[in-house]
Amino acid sequence: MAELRALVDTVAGGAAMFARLAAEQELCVQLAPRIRLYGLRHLRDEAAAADLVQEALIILLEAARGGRIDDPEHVDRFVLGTCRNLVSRSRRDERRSKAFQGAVLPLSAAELPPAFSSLDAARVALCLGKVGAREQRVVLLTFQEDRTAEEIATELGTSPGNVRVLRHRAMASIERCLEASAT
Amino acid sequence: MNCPIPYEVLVRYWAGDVSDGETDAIEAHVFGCPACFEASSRVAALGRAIAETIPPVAIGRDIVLADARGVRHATNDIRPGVATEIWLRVGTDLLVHRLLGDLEDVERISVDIVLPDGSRLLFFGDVPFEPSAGAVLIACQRHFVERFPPDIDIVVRRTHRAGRESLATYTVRHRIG
Repeated sequence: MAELRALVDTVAGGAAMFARLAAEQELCVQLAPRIRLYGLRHLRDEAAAADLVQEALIILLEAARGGRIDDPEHVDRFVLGTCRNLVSRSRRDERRSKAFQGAVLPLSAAELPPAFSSLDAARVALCLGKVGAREQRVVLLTFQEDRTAEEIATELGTSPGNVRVLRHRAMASIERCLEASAT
Repeated sequence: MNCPIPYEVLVRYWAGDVSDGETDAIEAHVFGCPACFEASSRVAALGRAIAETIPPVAIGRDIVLADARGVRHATNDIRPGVATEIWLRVGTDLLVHRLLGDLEDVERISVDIVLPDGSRLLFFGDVPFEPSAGAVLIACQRHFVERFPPDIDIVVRRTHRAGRESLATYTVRHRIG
């Protein structure tokens, strides 16, 4: 976290404009992927996660510029807290926030983390086909139909604990298959 | 550096199968740990890819879900021992090959996809099937048709309740047009 702290200090301090802008950009580059991942987990949508990245980074930069980050050593915690607040707010109020319209991030779209579309669909399908029928059904029910372990257990006539075991074994097996087929 | 969060926990996290307390603890760690961020990202990417994936040997439900996602498919009935020409037309994303056969007393099925010279292209050792459907469904996506040789034999090995095994070979000639 020392590197992030140094960046926050550069943004907050009286560094020359180019140094400050470079530090702001590097902060965004480093933290945007983490914010995006958080957004995908909680908002379950690429576009909504991209919006969260923009909003959280603008709050971060405004706070850093104003010296309002209490613990620069753990700026990641500040960003995580910001993400939680923004997601919580978006759940309370589905209307899009207007507060950030017109705000400009020192980051181009190309510098934001890429969408999770890089996995080769054909390879994923083939690797999915290689796990057993039961394991395959568990991961499909989990990730395609958002079914809980309890619901899947009822459908397959097994226990939730067994569903969890089948699920993570299948995921690990697919991941190994993808790695093997990439080489 | 390895991620100290067990893989199984990351899978449960992305499956939405953790408590609020566990969620908070996982996120607090992942936000500050590059190794766990990478590990969590891989699980997320795989989960999201699976959400869009049609398994190569499918059941009816998989095709219904693909249809709901806008995948345009054409279904063809294929009988064993009869070479069948199947056309992948413009505007079709997925060919569903219904390999017809009696599955009522079948407990397990494996599928071999072989080339005309007998060499194995793909093998699926334990595939999903619905006995009442009277067919094994091969979900042949456009990227398979374009990537693999067009002429294949699909060998379906069925293990019956009494332990007996039976084989059926389906010959498919893919054509793009």
